Amino acid sequence: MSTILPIAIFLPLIAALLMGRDRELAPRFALVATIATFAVAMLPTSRFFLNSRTDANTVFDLPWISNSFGAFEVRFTVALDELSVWPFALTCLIMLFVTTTLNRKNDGKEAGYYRLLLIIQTGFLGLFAARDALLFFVFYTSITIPFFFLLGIHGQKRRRTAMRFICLETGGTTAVLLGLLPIAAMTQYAAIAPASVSSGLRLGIFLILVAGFTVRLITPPFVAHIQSNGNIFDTICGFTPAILLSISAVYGAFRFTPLLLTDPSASACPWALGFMTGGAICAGMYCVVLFWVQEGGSA
Amino acid sequence: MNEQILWILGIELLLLTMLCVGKIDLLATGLATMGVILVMAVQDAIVLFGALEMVSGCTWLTLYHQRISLSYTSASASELTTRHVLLSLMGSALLLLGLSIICGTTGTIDLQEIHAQSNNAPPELIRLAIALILAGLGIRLGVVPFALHIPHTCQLITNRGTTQLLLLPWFAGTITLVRLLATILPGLSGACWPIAGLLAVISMGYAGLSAISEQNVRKLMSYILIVQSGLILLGPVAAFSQAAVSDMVATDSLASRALGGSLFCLLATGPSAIGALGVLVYLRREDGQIDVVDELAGLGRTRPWIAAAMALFLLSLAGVPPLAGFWARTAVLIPTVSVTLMANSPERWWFVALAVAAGLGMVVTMVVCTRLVAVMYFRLPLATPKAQGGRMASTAIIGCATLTVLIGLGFFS
Repeated sequence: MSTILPIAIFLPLIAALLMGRDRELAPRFALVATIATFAVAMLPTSRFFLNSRTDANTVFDLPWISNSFGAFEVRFTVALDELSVWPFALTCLIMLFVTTTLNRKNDGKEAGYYRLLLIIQTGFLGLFAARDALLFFVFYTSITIPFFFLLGIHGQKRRRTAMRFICLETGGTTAVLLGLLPIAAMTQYAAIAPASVSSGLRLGIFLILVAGFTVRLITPPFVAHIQSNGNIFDTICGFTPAILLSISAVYGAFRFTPLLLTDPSASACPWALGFMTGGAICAGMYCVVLFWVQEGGSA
Repeated sequence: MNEQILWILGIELLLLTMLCVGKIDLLATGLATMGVILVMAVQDAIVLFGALEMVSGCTWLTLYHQRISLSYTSASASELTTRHVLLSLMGSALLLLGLSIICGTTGTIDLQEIHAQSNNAPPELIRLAIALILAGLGIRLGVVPFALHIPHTCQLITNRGTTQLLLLPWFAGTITLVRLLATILPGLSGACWPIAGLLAVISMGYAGLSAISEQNVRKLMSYILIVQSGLILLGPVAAFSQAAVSDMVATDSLASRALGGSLFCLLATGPSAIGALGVLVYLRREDGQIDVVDELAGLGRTRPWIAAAMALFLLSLAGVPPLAGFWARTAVLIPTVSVTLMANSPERWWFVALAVAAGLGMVVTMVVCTRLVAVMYFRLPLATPKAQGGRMASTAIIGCATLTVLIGLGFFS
């Protein structure tokens, strides 16, 4: 069992907790933390590629919530596989890029800003490495609140933007939870064999999951368009965490929906993927039109 | 009874008692706390009922003490307090009737004996008893439509009184419900799940929608707790679902898991609820207690630590992982979803609808709680609230915050 992966996941969180209030030191501290995280994260990543690309070399598995009065169990299982290794490495790289190039205005809130970015990094790293459905959801949702504060404290028209973000995100994450709970139940209740679940129900769960992930896919553009000045999403540096937000949604869809695919529900897969792609294209076009209108207005 | 459950419950009740100062408040809370512990520990149906009445009696004492000390003389105040007591008495009567039927059909008042004998009891009478017990305990749990008066009563009294009035019956009612259902589990009939399911959906829907635009903090907290009560009821719904599920062997395990989930939901939500109300007890404005949401504006700047604690409690109540409130929801939702997967075809879609309704309730609670967090952190302060709750209240808040985080991280699981 490898402990490097959990260390890489929680290193940014520990750095965020240790970060002081000094506005001068905060960017340097965040940079050192992301460099250290990148270095530590490269160990399991390289181990994965060097050792015949199996997740056995990176897996870390512990019982976490084992006896909540018999109601459910959660295991802290993280590992890297073909699907997760790329977004995992990309997260480290993107956050390194963000902390290196970010040039925030001096408003006395720098430490809080970098602290939130580091918490977000832990959320993304955990999300991409999680192998338990409920653990995945914990990381998936833990990103929401730091983003909420990031938008609400460091953006303009802050409250409106943050509330819009949280409303969209809450709808999406609840749908994801309703989709992931049956998957968790299938693994925890011996009486529920995946094959015994009817295809109609499986299709319903599949569509709920896809809908939930789609909301996160289209959330950043909807929030991004609201402000062009001062919002965290208005610069390329600020937009990169938003890109990770979209990647996490696509990753989640690819990670969990194949578990539900049987012959009847597989027929819905192209429709669902089309739905997601269509949603993303519409949101993108919406953004382009809005930016175009804003440009025209300012000219 | 699991020793761990008693420990957590004991700590939570101690934290709740720490929020109460003054002879009458302390006497009422102390007696009610004893009542809750008795409810948890007794093995006799009559003592169980007596313990529950002890809790109710203490809330009446609190209510009348508040009415006298705050000099509420208006007709509406008088009407609301009287209505609260009368409805509480009606709940007791219904509960007593339900208990009498159970004891009468099984021929014993010992809960373990009832558990052993309930297989032989006529199912129609057990069904009737469950309906009466649900109605009787619904008033204590804050379940709609039995407890529509509770938010309005809370609006009248102090934040400290609200803490006692809301939480003590909530703890006692939920524990009694879980204990009684676990006792008569072998005699449970599947026809009961629609009643509990309907109560859960109505509670979550009504309270959630009412909370969206509510400005009074005490009413808001009572609506949030009613939504939690609706979620707690999902456990009994899953436990009642024997007739709907084809695999009977699985159902026994499912029912005990579902009831365990309800108890876990109560104990995991408890610290957040006590803490959030504790913050309202701790803070005061210049000329009185905190009444409306706007008075918390800018708390993140004026009182950052208290704001952080309040945000923690609210996010936990909203079900944000990895805080205790999230696991509380998961504990009741997993059995419900499992029933959905195992149920026979016609009933299945009702359980799907129930899970979706629970999801919508969660969305609304999340929006309501984050609205409060946004008021505290994203708005400019109107005034600086005074911290006048005393050391006991601040210690209780720290204790609740610690418990919320520790349960969330899996320390007591």
